[in-house]
Amino acid sequence: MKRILNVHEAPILIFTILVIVLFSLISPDFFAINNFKLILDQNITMFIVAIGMTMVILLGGMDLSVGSVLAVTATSVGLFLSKGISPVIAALLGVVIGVLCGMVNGYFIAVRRIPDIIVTLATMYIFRGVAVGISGGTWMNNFPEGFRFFGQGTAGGVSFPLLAAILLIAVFIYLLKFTRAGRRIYSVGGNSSAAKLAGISVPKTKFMVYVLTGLLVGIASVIFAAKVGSVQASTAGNSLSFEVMAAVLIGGGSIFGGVGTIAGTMLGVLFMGIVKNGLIIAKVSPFWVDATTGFLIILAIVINTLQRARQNKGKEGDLV
Amino acid sequence: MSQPVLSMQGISKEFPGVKALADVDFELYPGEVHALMGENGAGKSTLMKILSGVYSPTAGVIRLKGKETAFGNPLDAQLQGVSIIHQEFNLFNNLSAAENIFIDRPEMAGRFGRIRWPKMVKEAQALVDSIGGGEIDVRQEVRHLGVHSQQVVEIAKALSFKADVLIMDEPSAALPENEVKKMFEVVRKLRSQGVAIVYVSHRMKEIFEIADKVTVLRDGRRIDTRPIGEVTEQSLIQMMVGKEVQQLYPEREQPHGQEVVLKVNGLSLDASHNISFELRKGEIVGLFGIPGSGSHTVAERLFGLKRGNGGVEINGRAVKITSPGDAKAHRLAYVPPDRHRQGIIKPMSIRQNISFPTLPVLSKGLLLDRDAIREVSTEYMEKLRIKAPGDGQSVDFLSGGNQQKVVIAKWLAAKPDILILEEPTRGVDVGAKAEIYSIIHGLARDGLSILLISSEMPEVLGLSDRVLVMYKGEIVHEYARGEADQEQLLQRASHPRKEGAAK
Repeated sequence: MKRILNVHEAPILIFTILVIVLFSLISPDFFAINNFKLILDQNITMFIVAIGMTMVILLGGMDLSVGSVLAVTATSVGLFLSKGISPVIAALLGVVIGVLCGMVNGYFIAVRRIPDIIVTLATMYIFRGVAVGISGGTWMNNFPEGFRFFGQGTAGGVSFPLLAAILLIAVFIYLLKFTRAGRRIYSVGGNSSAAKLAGISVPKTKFMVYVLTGLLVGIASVIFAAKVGSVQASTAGNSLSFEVMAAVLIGGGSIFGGVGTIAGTMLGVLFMGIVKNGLIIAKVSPFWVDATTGFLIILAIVINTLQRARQNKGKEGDLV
Repeated sequence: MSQPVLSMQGISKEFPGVKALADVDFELYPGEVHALMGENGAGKSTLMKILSGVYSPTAGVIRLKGKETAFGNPLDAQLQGVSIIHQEFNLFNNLSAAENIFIDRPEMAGRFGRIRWPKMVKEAQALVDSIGGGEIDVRQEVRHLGVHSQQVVEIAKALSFKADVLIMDEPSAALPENEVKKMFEVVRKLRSQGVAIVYVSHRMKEIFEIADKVTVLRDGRRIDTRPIGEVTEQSLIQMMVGKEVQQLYPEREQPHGQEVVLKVNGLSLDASHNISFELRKGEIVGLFGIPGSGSHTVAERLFGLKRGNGGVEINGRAVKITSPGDAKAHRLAYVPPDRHRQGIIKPMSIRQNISFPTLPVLSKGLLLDRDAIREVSTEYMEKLRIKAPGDGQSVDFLSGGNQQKVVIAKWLAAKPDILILEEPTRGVDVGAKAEIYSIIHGLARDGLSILLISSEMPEVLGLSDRVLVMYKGEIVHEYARGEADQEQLLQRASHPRKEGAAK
């Protein structure tokens, strides 16, 4: 039992199960296969973007621009499609645009050493503005049949977006845990001066993380556009950055960097999805959903810190 | 004797305006523990930084195993076989011990950079076991380990580079007494394996216990290198201290008052135990200890930065101080040791810095009283002779000495009864030192009671009416003014149990 409690993801896992039990008791409609499928399906974009945000927060950084990157990518894909470009090429170009956005962030943060919060605050406006500009303020819709596959198609009976998400999660869990590149992220976030002394390039590591995040947002936005079927540049992915950051922190990530796992984050996304879904099914007034969500986020994070406090008990710490 | 594994010849290092090292020779043989000693500012750390690849020397030659070499950066030095363990550990608290030892090492990765965890854990465990750290599970995160174990991990990390030369900078500073013994066992084991160890320390007792040879630096020069059997504590201290310092300190013209202003009773916290002393009106009491002696925690406790046991009385009344706000309310002021991090607010002006702690007084209702603020800042700028075009000048552009005066000024503006000064002249030049000393003197003459915590012996001896010596968290001796010289002081501070040496 003690060993289980020491697993990094234990608090959020236990809390998620508690919340599931609670909602199941409140409403019989909640505990149903179809409802769980719905929760997964509604949060595919979050799952994928949160992979990138986990890495950013592991560095001790934050990325406020992911929602805007999603908007500019999805809008561009819509434009490409309306110009008659084939769905596959349009999707690939969309991913490339995501990567380019990541490179812009990475350049200013890693190479020019401007604090991440400032850079991504600025690019949050820039990317959103570009998205609105190129869209001319109109909705992107009427996507061709071939494109809808990315959002609604199935492969071997499983929905394509879910498959893509699972694949990406697996790849990045492997990357973070089992490769030098992944461990560099943990080392830079844990103690960047020690990382430097060990010969690790802090700027390169940071740059890589922001580019990978751009890539992931690019993929997510293609799925998003194909799934929703219409994109409005000014609102797409509006609150995405904050929701995803919240998911990482709920999943045990530390805002100071160095601590966090993708598995934890995925539970965090799931937790937020379950809470939103459950509150609606439980017929909580929609006006109170946000406040309740916020309250549960704080509760989840407090539970995480309790685990850390317990593990550090008996050790002298510098409180100043 | 065999060939030296490392030889440094004619090493000089100049920084703008300062010659930190002048023509220093240093030789190191395999399987020896070579102590490096010197006062603060003698050049020890500069020499170690050159040796570990942080700085490159302005002049001189480094030979490693007979071959001339240069270290481009710390990693380069490590790869060539010279590793350093800093006083402050450089560990990734969020990672396992094994990973700390082998972070980002190509030999621990397979194709596509895939980490070979089993191999890493196995080799790390073997390495840790070989230096007597068998009780450590290298899969544990470092933050869950105790200090001794963390140090073992640091040593294992250094050795993982197949180090021929291991530099240990104040390795006992972070360790409790019983763990120092364990650390010595590790050092002896390494020595028997042929590793050459540079042991940098202030602590006499340790030097005589562990070192084979000792080199003393003073003012950036090498004074001598001797086998440990040929020196005594006295002769070492003599070498370190050298000539008498010039007259920096004003004469004390009148005696201080008799009423006890501050009474500390049985204060205990972290590494310090049962500290008791009294401070009288207008008295300067020096608190001297080598790094790690716990003198810093006394200040932190008195000023409410940390909590601990024991009682504090101010002007005869027991007080409870649990925050700097409490301390301020009881007319205590604290000039902290690190002015950059704890003292000045760089982008702000002199005026803003000086008025900062007193703003509640310098306000009319909810608004700041600009005239009063200007008045106070001008007054103290003059009083402390802060050299600047005006009090609107940003403190960032002032010299170290003037910045320090700003820090002192801001606390004087709060009109304290008791002033705790910690390292008041760290990193300021001699001219500014003399000025700060005369200011401190003037303050005491005007009735301010001062607790002077410093690791600079001449300063403590030159200014204090009484000197309390701390060692390993306890006050081990008290000297009246003029009773002790630097040698006795250092001896008490590094080797307290030797009886009869001082009086």
